[in-house]
Amino acid sequence: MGRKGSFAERPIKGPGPKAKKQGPPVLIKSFKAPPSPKAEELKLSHRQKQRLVKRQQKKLNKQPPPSKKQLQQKKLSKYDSDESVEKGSDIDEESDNEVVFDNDDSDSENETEVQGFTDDNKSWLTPKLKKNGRNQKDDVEDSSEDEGSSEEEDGEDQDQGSDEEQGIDEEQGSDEEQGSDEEQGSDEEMDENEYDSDDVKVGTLNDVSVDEGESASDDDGESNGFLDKSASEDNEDDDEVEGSDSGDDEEEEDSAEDQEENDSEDDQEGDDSGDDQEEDDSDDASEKSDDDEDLLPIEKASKKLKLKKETDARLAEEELQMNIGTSEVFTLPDTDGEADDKKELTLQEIHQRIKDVILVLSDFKKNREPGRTRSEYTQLLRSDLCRYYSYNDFLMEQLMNIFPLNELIEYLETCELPRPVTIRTNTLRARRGDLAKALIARGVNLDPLGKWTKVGLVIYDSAVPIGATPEHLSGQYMIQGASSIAVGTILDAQENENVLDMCAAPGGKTTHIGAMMKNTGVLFANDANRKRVPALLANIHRLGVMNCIISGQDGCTYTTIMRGLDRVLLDAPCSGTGVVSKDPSVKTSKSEVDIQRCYNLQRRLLLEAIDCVNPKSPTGGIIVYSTCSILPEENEWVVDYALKRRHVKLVPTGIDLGTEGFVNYRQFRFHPSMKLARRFYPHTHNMDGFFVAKLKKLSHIVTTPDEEEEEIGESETIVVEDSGDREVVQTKRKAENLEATEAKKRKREEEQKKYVAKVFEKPVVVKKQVNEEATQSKKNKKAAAKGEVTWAVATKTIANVEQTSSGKKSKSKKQAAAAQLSQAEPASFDSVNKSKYFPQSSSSRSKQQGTETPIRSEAKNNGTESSKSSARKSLNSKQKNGVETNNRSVKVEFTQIPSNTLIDLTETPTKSQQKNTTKMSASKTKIQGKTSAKATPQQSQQTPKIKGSKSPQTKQDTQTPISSKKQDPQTSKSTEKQNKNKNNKSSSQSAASDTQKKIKMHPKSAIGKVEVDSLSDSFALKVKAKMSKKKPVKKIGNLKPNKKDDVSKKATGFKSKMGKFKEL
Amino acid sequence: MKRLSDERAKIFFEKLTKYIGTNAKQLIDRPDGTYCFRENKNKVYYASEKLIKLAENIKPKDLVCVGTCLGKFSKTNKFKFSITALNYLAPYAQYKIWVKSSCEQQFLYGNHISKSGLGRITENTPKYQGAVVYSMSDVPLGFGVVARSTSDCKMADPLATVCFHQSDIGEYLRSEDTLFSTIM
Repeated sequence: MGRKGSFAERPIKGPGPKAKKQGPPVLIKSFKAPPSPKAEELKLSHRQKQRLVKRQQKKLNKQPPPSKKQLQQKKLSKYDSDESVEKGSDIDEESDNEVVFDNDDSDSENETEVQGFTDDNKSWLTPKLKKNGRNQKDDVEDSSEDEGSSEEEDGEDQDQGSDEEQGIDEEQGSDEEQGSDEEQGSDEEMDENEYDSDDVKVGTLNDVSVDEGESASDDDGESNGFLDKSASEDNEDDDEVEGSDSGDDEEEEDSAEDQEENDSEDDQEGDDSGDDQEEDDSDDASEKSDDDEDLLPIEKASKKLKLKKETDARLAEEELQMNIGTSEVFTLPDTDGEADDKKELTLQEIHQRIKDVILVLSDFKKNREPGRTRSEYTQLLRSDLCRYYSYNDFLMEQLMNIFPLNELIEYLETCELPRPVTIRTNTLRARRGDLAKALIARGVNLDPLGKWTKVGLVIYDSAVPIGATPEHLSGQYMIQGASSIAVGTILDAQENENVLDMCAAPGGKTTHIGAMMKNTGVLFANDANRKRVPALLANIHRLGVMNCIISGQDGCTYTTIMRGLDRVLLDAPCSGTGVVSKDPSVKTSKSEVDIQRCYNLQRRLLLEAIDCVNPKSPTGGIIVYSTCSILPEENEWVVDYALKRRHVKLVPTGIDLGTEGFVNYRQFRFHPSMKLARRFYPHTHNMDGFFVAKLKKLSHIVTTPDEEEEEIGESETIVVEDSGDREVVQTKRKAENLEATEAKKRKREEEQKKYVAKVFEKPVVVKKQVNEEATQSKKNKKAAAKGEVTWAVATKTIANVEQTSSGKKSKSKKQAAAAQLSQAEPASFDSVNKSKYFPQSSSSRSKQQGTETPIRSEAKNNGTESSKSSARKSLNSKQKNGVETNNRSVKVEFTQIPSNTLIDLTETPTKSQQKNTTKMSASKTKIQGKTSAKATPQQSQQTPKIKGSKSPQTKQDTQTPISSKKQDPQTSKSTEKQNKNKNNKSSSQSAASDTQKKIKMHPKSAIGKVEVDSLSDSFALKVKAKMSKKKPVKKIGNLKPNKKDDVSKKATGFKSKMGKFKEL
Repeated sequence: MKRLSDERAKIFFEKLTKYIGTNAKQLIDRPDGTYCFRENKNKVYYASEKLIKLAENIKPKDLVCVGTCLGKFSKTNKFKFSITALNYLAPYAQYKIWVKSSCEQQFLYGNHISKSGLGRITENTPKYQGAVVYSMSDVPLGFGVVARSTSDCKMADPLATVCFHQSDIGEYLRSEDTLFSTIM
């Protein structure tokens, strides 16, 4: 900038004053007297020799640097006023004046000197011209450099030598600026090395001391490399020019850490430096002369300015780094030797040590200290990092596993800084452009967030608190992290869908979904933490989402409320390792147990979320799983877990953002499609650390991994273990980590016992059975029309129950107990069935038929339920348990059974079987109750007594009413109708076979001993009529008629009110 | 979730018509499905029938909110709108008050609107009429009761209150915790 200005001014200012000063050319002659002899010397001898002389002089002068400056000035003043002005004063104003002068001077000088050279050899004219010009320049520069630089001495050092060489190269390119730069570069080097040379001088006698000195200098260079560009360039130059040298340099750093190795290397260095020295001299001379010749005087002046500044800066820096360097020299050997010395170290020292260790680890083969293992280095590094960034050991280990070292440092550094504030425009209330305008008017400095979102804005700074502007309060925007916005975008909710946000509070993503749905469809927001729900409520209302149902249920049981949703967003609770900048307490507070807790919960939630989704949804069937953690245990592993247990696949996220998820992480081998998942990092994307996976549900099929299936026969706990450590087992490092894994297993056992065994393993079996039964029942449906065939069906189904229950007896104690129960049931059935073989008594037959019908209907219901379950929409799914009211028919009860098995995954299969059986028995008893109630009131009074007398059934009987209380009074009409039809059929059949309308009771009989005569047509009709009567009252009556009532009332109310108003 | 009793329905609609007048009809007869008012723990919710049906699946204990919460009945059986009702009051408001940007912040901190802060007011607003308060850029800020009729406003001195504060969107920030605490 300054240069340009001076260039422009030059022609204007130039001539007048300078002409005057040009006046005394005599001075030039007198001035020339000193340099001319030098020139003669040059002629006489090689210029290198000349410089040797100079340098020797400098050596002598160099040791007291302050005096040199004075000397310079004196010399300058002696030589010429012009020159003195040039050198002594680096101020711009003077340089302007100088310009013309310099030109003249240089011209005159050049003329004379050129002549001298041309006499010798004309072919070398041009270069020599430069070289001659250079002489003069040398004087100037040498004097200026005197403080710091002694070129000859520096020759001892490798770095400089290489630099000089490069100087030559660029010279040949004959680019002025480059040449000057190089010059400066070399000068800088010289300055640096001044101290080295001193050290060398002092310590030449002692090898070790020499080592120290050199290593210190090298370290300086290295540390410069970290901090200073110019220095790093120098290092690079070394590398380019001399590959071997660069290698040596690195080793020298090692020498800083471990001094003892280096003797041999030092020797090499000595040789190198010897060679370099000679080259240096010649190079310097040629280089500088070239530059001076070509340069304009202004450039010269500016160059000098630069030089001075840089030398000053260099000196200051060097002093700093000398301090650091010296300390480094002391600490580094300690660090490698003993890791316990940390206490004495300052943060700065630790930081330095971190750098060094990372450098060693970056090329471990070369840089390692022999006898030291990598783990020792990493151990040291980890402890240092923990100390420096104040993480706990566990988390740091995790992070070191995730990131390569250089990235790790970057990550840790970024985590210390806050992320930029981002807001999301609420498209329900405002457009982004309008909002941006309004905010800018309030003094907010903002920008669009990125190409991937149309609603995000980044806020750089603002004059007002961004969370309290009227725009914020009126819900035009939501303060939300960029990664959260990305998650909402990835979910991509469509209009008229049913969407669930499972862990919704505080509602950022929920309202995003609401905005995307444009207040159509239904949005379910759930959060188990009641303390956070008010925030959710407030945000949903503030942002104007009106189609939201907010619940505070545990997400792990959400399928009991709702299924068949189109999309589910699961922003699972996590350890929060990705948002360290928001909550630094994570750094120290998280332990392995916390992580385990997190991922156990996450797995449950994810499976639940998948279960909630309808795979046949035309628009959706999407689950988005996200966490604000970056640990693979909470992310990929959880998703992988779900992939193995549910019929889902990963799909691309749809936005071009984030890095791929891990497929391989340490011992884990995740599903190859895991790369479709996305990770966000603070240091690469400048957003919170996040993980997002988008899953598409394909069907309701529940699968269990093979290993688990194999060991299903074993005890419950073992199954649990395997489910937890499946991945671990897959990796072949069993022997080593057996102890660790077992410890893990134990922990996981404790945590997973509660649900894994119940939730994941057993329902599978049940489902299969249900399906079998369903298929069987379907096959037999047609045949079932005839009474005798239904016998077979009944026996078959019972046999199934028996088989399944007996098959599982051995599994566990609980199960065994359950199996006993379930066995007890079939036993009762058997006894019932036995009566089949004694068809003499019409009553027994009728009883059998009575029992038969429910079984058949159950089987059918199983089939219908399973087939329906997929297609069933959320409305229908409302009926979680079938209807069970005392007035309803028996068949209705049986709808509970399949629905239970489908919905209540939490139940063990045996339990559900147990339920089946209990309900069957309950239904029997209820048949008693109902029928008896209808037949005669006395009998109905008797029945409870009878129930009370039977030990196995009494329990079940007591159970059933409880369950009936829980059950929703509303059932789906369709199932009821089907049941009714069946009911009618069976009843009509029975009516055909038996005309008796009474129900006989045999109080002393062993089992139910209530023999139900088959229902007559009239009774069936009655039941039917009752049901049909109750339906509209109970079901529709709740909503529609009331609605109408409401409306009418409201309307009338309005009219009256309107009338009042009019009157008023 | 239950229907409003006749008595409460009367109270509620009286209050509603105070703010939005005959436009209350539009809340009931909507082209996009049937919407209804439901009461749960003294709070009144407004939501579509579909939503309410679906919400019946959720245990009453766990159900927090369906649709939009309009307000609550006090112990003395009077109905009070909460700020969340603004979603429905603002679009249908009959009487409006615009506040100057200088007074905006004051109102959002819960203060009454003085004559000096009054930007505009609907013509012929009667005294003690419920009105929705807007900023000059037509952002609804809350609602209140007009303290002086339009004609009186013109005559009033600058410090005189023209609108009593009832509720404002600043409550989302000021009292987020207490706003719905009774629901929980």
